[in-house]
Amino acid sequence: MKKLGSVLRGLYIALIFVFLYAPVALMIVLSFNETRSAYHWEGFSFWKYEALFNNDTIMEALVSTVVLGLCAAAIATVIGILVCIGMMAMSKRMQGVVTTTANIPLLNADIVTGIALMLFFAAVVGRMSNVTLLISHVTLVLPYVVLNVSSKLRQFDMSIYHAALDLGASPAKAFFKVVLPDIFPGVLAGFLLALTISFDDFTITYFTKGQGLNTLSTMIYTNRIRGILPEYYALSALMFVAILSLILIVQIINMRSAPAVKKTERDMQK
Amino acid sequence: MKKLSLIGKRTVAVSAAFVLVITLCLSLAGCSSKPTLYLFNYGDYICPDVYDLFEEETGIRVVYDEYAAPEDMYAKFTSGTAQYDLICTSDYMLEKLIGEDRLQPINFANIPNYKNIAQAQKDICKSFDPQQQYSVPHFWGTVGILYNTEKVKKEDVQSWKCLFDGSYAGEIIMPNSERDAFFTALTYLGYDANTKNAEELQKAADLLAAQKADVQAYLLDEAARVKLEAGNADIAVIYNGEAYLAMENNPALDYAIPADGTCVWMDAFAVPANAANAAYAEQFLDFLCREDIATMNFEYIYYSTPNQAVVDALDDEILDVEAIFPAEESIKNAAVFRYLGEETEVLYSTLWKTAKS
Amino acid sequence: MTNKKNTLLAGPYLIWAVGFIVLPLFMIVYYAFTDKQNRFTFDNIVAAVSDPANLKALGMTLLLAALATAICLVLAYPLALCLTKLRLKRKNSIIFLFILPMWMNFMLQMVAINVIVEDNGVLNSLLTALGLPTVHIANTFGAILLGMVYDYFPFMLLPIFNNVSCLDKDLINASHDLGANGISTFFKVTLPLTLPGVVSGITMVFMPAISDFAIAEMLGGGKIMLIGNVVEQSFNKGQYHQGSGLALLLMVFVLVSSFITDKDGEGEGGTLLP
Repeated sequence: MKKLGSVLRGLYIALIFVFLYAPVALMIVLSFNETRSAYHWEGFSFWKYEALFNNDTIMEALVSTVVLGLCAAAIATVIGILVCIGMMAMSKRMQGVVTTTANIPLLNADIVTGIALMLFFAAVVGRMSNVTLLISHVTLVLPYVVLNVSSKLRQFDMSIYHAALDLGASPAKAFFKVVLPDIFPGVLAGFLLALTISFDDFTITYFTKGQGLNTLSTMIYTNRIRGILPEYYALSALMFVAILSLILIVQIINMRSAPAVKKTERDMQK
Repeated sequence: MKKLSLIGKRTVAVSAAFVLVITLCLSLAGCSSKPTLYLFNYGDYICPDVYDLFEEETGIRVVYDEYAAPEDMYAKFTSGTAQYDLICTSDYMLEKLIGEDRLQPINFANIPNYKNIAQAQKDICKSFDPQQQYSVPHFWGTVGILYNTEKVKKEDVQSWKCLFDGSYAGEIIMPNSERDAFFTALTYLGYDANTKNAEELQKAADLLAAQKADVQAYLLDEAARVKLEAGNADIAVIYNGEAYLAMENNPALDYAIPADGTCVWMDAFAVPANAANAAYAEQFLDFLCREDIATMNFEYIYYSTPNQAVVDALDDEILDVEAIFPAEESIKNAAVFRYLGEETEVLYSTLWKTAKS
Repeated sequence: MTNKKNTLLAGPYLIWAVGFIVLPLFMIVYYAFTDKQNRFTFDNIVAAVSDPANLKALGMTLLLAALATAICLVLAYPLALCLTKLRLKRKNSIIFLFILPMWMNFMLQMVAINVIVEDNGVLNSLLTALGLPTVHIANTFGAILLGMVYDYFPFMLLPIFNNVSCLDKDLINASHDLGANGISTFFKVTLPLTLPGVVSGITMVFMPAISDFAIAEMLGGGKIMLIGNVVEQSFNKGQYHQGSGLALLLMVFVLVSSFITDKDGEGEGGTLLP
């Protein structure tokens, strides 16, 4: 009976796994398909990858997506760290106000955030540009950074910081030498999360981008009337590999810092 | 107390670096020292190599945005959130823009290759640009029915009726563009394509609403073509150039212009009144009208080209393709879309929204 | 670090929050209550809730979002239970296997789903090969539902999994010892204790689902209008005031229900990465 249960459980897990990975797997398989058709296999080929790298429109969109994501995540991380430190000196009520506003873009419908920003920029500067797009993305990803950094900062043992000060370190030095290394996993997680949220965004980009610029999402959306371009298969495959490696790197970083945490937990239980 | 503050030299340095990074980002993002022409066009309407060639010859980079339906173009164009030097759109929309003084007259002295444009197409342009000051034709063509000869009877597609009588339920692709969709219904009902009569439009809307259950999807251009090529649908209202490509890719497909009427559309370039670089736009227009470039574009999309020099150089084989160069009798009574005024336009969009909801 | 001067460090953020979060939202309010001549009016709000096309779109949206949420819940809850029962050393790592596909570009996911559900697509080829009748879901309600379930599934799985994996085993054992069978243990102990995760999951799926327009546009073949599509098209057609009226209602609904279900103001978004 117990055995049957675990077999059924395994089967269920496998089923969901297949459901989630079928589209990705299909895109990867089709990326090597000799023919344009998505419906039958005609032999192995790399031409879709070649086409991808030769397609200026897609490559430009890819570069824009990456540059935009990196800039937005970097700016949001700096602002996010600063506000998290600032918040520690605030009253509980003030902290509540800050976290609540921080969470508005997180909780609000993307379409509302996008439209609000568009109306605002239209009223203030008139034309959408790369700057309005960047500002919008920073706004979008800020809450994720604040959430990650503040939760890590709350776990931080302030006595270590005070000890550093007592030993003669300047506050800034104490921050960079003691606090930052300790909250670094939270900062990194926030940065990476911000990066992925920015990469994945469609709605806000759609409403706030300037003329002539596309990210991958808006490019695919605009091209939807063109059906499925063969380059998409290759792009999906490469994106999947890139994301997989990113997640693995984060896991490894976390694993390195994890044993120490576990050890303290065990000590505390004793 | 001073010592406890975090605002020290280091922080200043970091903040300075941060500001630097932001300015760098912004300047990188906004860098356009290169002369740039901003173009707003239908999707995939110019061969991408043309942009490269133009940049090579003139040093002007073409940055373009694409839209699907003329109404979308109008909203974005007039919202002020984007500024373009050149736009390409259809007959009735150009008429609207001209009427609203949103375009500037083109200096044809800067476009010597304009002489390549055939007189017949210039005449079509007169319907929306009477003095011919604002527009340079890009492509023209017809609206017809692309169908799968293995599934659809040839005699059925001689009338728009086949879209509305339920005989091909679930296999129909309708255009996701209000004027084109209404055109099929209005023509089938025997009304004028440019009618402003609210009653007639209501009847057409009712017909479209009733038809919705039979429609597989509302798609335009390539998306519709690809559906039929892959055999996922059997019948589509489509523009002629897409039809030709579809027939090349899937021999089972054929194109028909229903006998109860078609419309001739004309897509043309125009320079917005607020263009920052009208001179670049004129340079690009001259480039597009040049025979070799017009040929490249023609062989990229296969719509009917208004460029007489290109037509003269073509083989008879391709000139005989009805989908590209329609016979004179099939377009003799064809309608050309006119701008119907704001009131009818609002009515159109309300009716279309209700019909599709 | 609790120095009062440090509150200055929150400055850039506060400026940002006021300038780019709060003010833009007021723009929507402004547009929602004015007409083209900038005169105060309730017409946009009235039109938003009285236009039959909007009401139809609203009904369709609520139905779709509710179905998508229900399906996600029904799929995710058992999965979370199964995953916690696995005898694995790094239980928390396995969850990332189930979240990974989410990080693929959203538009590419939609493209992939389209390839699968087309009439002669992979799904139907598979069904034919198995001797089953084919299904027609391309460009229908079904395709959008599938797209939503696929896209939002991780948002349901994560909070539930976090909750279930923290469940105290002793409570379940105690319930068994006291004579409760598996079913009543589930309903009396497991489910109530994991309810916060379930509520959180429901919010995180339902909220984006009711405001989406891209999934419907990509998978619905232009046949199905959701509230998000109505809003998007109003803006696409330059009808800013009408669109804002609808967007305002959407915003009020989403924010109010979010704050009710998410009282401490901490979304689960922060836990999406290791």
